[in-house]
Amino acid sequence: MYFQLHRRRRGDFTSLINFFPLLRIRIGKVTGGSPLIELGAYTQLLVSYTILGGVYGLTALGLSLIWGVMKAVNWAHGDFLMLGMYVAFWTVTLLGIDPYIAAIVSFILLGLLGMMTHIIAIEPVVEKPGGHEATLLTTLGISVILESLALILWSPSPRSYYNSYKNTFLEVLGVRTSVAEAIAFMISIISIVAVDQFLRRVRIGKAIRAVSQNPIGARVVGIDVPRIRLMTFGLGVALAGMAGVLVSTFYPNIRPLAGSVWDIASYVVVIFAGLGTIYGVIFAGILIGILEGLGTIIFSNAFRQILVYAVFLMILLLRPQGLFGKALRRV
Amino acid sequence: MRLMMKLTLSVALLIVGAALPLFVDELTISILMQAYLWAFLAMSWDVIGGYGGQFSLGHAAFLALGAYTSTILLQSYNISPWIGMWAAGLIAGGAGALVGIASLRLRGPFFALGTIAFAELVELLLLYFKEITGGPLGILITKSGPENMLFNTQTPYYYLTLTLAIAGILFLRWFESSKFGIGLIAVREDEEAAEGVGINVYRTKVIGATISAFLTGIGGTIYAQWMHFIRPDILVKLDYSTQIAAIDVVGGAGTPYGGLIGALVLVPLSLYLNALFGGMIAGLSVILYGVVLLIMVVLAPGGIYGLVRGKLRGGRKGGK
Repeated sequence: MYFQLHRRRRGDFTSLINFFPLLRIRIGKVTGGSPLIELGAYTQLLVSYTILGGVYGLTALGLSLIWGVMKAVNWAHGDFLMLGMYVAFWTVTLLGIDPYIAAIVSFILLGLLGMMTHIIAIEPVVEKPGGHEATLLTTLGISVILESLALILWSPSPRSYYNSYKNTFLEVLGVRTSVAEAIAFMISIISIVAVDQFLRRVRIGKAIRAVSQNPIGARVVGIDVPRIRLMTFGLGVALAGMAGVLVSTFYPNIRPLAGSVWDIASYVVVIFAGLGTIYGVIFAGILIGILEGLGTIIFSNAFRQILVYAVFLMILLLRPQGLFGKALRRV
Repeated sequence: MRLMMKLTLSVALLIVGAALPLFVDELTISILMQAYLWAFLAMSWDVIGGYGGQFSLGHAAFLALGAYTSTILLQSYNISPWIGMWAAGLIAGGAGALVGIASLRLRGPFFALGTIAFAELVELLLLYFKEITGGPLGILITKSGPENMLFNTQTPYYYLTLTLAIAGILFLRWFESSKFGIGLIAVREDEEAAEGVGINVYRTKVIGATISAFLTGIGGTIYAQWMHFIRPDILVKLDYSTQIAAIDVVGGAGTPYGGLIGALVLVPLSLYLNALFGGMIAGLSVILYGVVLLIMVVLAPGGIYGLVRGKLRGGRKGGK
């Protein structure tokens, strides 16, 4: 079924429609009453999508970093996220540790994997003419390999692990969220602030910024540019791995093709945010979350993605530097 | 002398290509037929992606628009695809013009992402307008007969796509030395300089994208007629967009032969691998496909054509 040719399910956005089975059941219980309750349901929906948007921000962070520093598109981003989900699954079920400790494990493991990927697929091509396009294709190859490996090793059927955070709910002013979602949202914001501080204050972080602003100048002042690229790619993938664990705590659908749901969302967030902004991704993520929520409320579940893409294309055309980005020079 | 050699080689290859169905089995014919079709799609992509340097990852949208246009014309209005394919090309070309306009503002990876979003939007719209497109179920072609471009065996499709692939090569050969083609290459190399020597960058990019999409739309019609049914989720997929681009890049982008070489390597490879390992270990063929893609892009940036030409000319790097 999954393997006619190399048809992967990357563009398969129908899976997004089934994105929130939990959410729909919750709304289903509330709606159908008085208009006031329906208003409550809408607030609920918006809050849920805002939280989702925050996590979008985290999933996009690694992509944005890599893109900003080496102008390379990491096509396998969603697949690293998927691997993060599996790291969570295996560590939690086999070792019985807390999923939030698994996030650290995943950060380290995926960071190492990211560096390996960089050595194989990015560094050999990134500086050649047409290198941006070449990275698109090499990371596509990596993505194909990772997805297939995951399918062979872990079968296409979805898995989930028991965690108590998912089943515990917070209720604030009549709006309910699961503890897992709330923590994921908070960790997303904390990580984004942490990465921003890392880039501002730590020596390596400063070097990363220097390379992203002017690779030649950075080399002149003695920065080992290939090494910085290696570390950036590792960090970007590590963040994807961590995001994968966080997603797996509230989105109980761990399967080899799960990355596809997230990676195009990440690209949208990166474009929305624009290059060279770290805080931009969180705002852009939340904005897209809200946009999806509004699309669902005003139109229908199917139309919400149309709305997101239409707005995305409009922003791309009217403001290619993104909402929060600085004006672009020639890429 | 060189010309004579080239001519003899071309004629020989042509005869081999035309006579092949007499000697091989139906499966091989089918595989080669798919390779030719993908070659044509890759060559269509080459116009804007290779010669124009605009790395589109949304060509599946044009493929789908072409396939839907001709199929709707056939199923609802009884218009033969032989005529419908031109309408398909026009509709896809119109969409291509939009993408061309977008390419004026978006550069590099941004353009690639814009085209992905465009393709996703097309897929969502195809799903949304159920009355016309059949929604997620798609459209099944219920007609038959050669007048509707529908055949019972693979051989007619083989000749159809072979013709298409040869036409594609001849077109690109003419295109790359035409005034417009040279202008497009100039725009790829340096937009400002091209503008400086009096090339209208705006017009060149938009027309380039339109031609590319027009050809892809025609390819979409052939694809639909061969498949006998169309569905948004099998047509407008990123896989198809990336596959079209990957074939051309592996073969050699910006050359008339890159598309055919890439398709003849990658398409049979993936199909044979799938047939070999498909039953036993589902993912293995796909892994090998990924590995081949990775190795090719890393080791042969000019594609196979560039590699071979570089070797022939004594180690000089070929390519774009």
